[in-house]
Amino acid sequence: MPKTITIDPVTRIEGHAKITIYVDDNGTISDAQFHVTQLRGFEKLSEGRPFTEMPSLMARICGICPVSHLMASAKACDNLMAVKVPVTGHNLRKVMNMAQIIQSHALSFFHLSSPDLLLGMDADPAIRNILGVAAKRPELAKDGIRLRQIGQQMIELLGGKRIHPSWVVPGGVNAALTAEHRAAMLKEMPEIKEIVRRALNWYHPVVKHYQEEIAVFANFPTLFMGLVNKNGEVEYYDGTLRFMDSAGNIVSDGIDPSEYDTWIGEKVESYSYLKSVFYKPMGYPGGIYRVGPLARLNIASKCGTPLADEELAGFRSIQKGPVSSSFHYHYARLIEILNCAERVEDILKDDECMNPHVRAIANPNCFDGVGVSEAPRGTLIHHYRIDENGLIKWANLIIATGHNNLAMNRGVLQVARHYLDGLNPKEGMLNRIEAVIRTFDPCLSCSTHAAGQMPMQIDIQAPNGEILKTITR
Amino acid sequence: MKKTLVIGYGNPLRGDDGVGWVLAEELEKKYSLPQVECQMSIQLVPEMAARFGEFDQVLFIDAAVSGNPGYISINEVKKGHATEKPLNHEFDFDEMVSFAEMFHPKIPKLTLFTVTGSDFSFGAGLSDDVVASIPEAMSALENLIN
Repeated sequence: MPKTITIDPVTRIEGHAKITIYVDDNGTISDAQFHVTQLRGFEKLSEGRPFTEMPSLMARICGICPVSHLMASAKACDNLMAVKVPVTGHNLRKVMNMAQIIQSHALSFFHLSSPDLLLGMDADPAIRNILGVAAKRPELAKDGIRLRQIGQQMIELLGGKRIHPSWVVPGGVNAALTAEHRAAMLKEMPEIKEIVRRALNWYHPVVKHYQEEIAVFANFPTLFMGLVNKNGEVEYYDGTLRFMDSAGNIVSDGIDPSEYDTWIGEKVESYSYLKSVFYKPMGYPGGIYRVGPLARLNIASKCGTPLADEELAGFRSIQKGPVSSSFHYHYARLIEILNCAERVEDILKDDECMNPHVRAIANPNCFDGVGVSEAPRGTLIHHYRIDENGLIKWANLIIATGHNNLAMNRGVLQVARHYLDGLNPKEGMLNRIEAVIRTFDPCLSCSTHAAGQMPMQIDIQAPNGEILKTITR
Repeated sequence: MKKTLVIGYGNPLRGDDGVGWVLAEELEKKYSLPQVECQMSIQLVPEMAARFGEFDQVLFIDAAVSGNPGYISINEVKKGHATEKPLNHEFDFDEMVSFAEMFHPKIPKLTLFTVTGSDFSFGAGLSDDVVASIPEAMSALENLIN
């Protein structure tokens, strides 16, 4: 009798999800699916709202990465107004975006993934958490907390509050930087770099024990996509889109973000509220690609800052060509934290950051606006259309977790096939399936904004296609 | 006066769940830094525990669901209870206390102050029962601080 193993809920990821693994008569895994069971509907509910409200509204999509949505949304609104954001406003937005990346990566690496790495994938789930980390290696837990605290404080210093700051507005930011806040942020950069150095010193020997996981944690050829700057370096806020294939060939480059829909398609699958995003020239599902820290480091020529580039050399030595195992998202996150700290330091050391001219004011001048930035988890796209009164007629959001959806599903299948004896699953094995999802650090709150009715249905299917049982909710 | 950190937490867009915010904001108007620091937050987060060492006491103000609406409960917490659930993005009070114990050789006095709510539906604003309890709650909080 074919069996279905359901892991529900998947813990330590944003939001809630469920995984179904299909087992045939021979106990062989025939398929695996990562279901996202939430529905948010932000694209639909924004219709009719004034476009100037969009950054604040869109930030409500997520309590973990509201800043990322603020950035992409404000950029889309800049384009609706057809304004050029003043240099200082532009750079201060960059600082806040990188503060967000620092705090979010800290949460992912130290709070959510370090328990697996420190305590082992087979450890008792009762202790495999940040409290378990604090008990066994308190300095690691302390560093994680401190790093997140610094990132959150930076957001608060700039935006007035840590969650849902309203400082980022169409045309720039609504207040200039004060000397006090500049000094307070600059003071923290050395500590960030020191914390990352300690984390890397811990991580490098530890990761040697996970060669088996590295081999099968979503380790397959895909494309990679992200923003790069005009020098081809890692870019978190601006730049153009680049696609690279698994052999390291740049297959599309210099893509103006406003033309994203020429290159990127979205497909709705019946088993998930999370849309599957693909590279249009290669079709669906052949156009599978990954975004986020792993992809950003793969596609870029370099990080563009000394310490991050030094560590990038180590990352590049993992394999010839793009790094293919999603296990290395963890490593990539640490390098990106370093890169962000160095970049923030560069911006804040330049007196231009104190220029009071931080915002351009205009009425809407275009009916169509696209904003693209890099969120911690990958490329974030906001696209709005407005009417002659500046009211939103249509919105489309493509979230990092959506870009990664196809790869996450294939990753689950790869891990399931390697580890699970379909009839006798063990906790450690099941946790590896959860852990492969965690490498992507998916944010399901962000990514399930699709509107419309789509009841969740679980089919138990025989090898001949016969539906043996259907569960609907 | 004890050097106090006040953490009012809950979702102010879910009716009475915002009572922690309301009370923390009222205390912020009444007292000044550095003697009393007030934080308002949607949820507890681990990094809050990192600063406990700077204070003589920490007051957590939250809404409760059990008891009569407007009922005020004050409990000093001596010891945290290690959680048995895998950590997700919710960090509860017990975990916060356990965390504080790991990070500080001597944790400050920790008090959980709750007001029982009756309406947790979508929307800003407190129910009449909870609004009526605010003066008594403020008086009790001021006693704890003073």
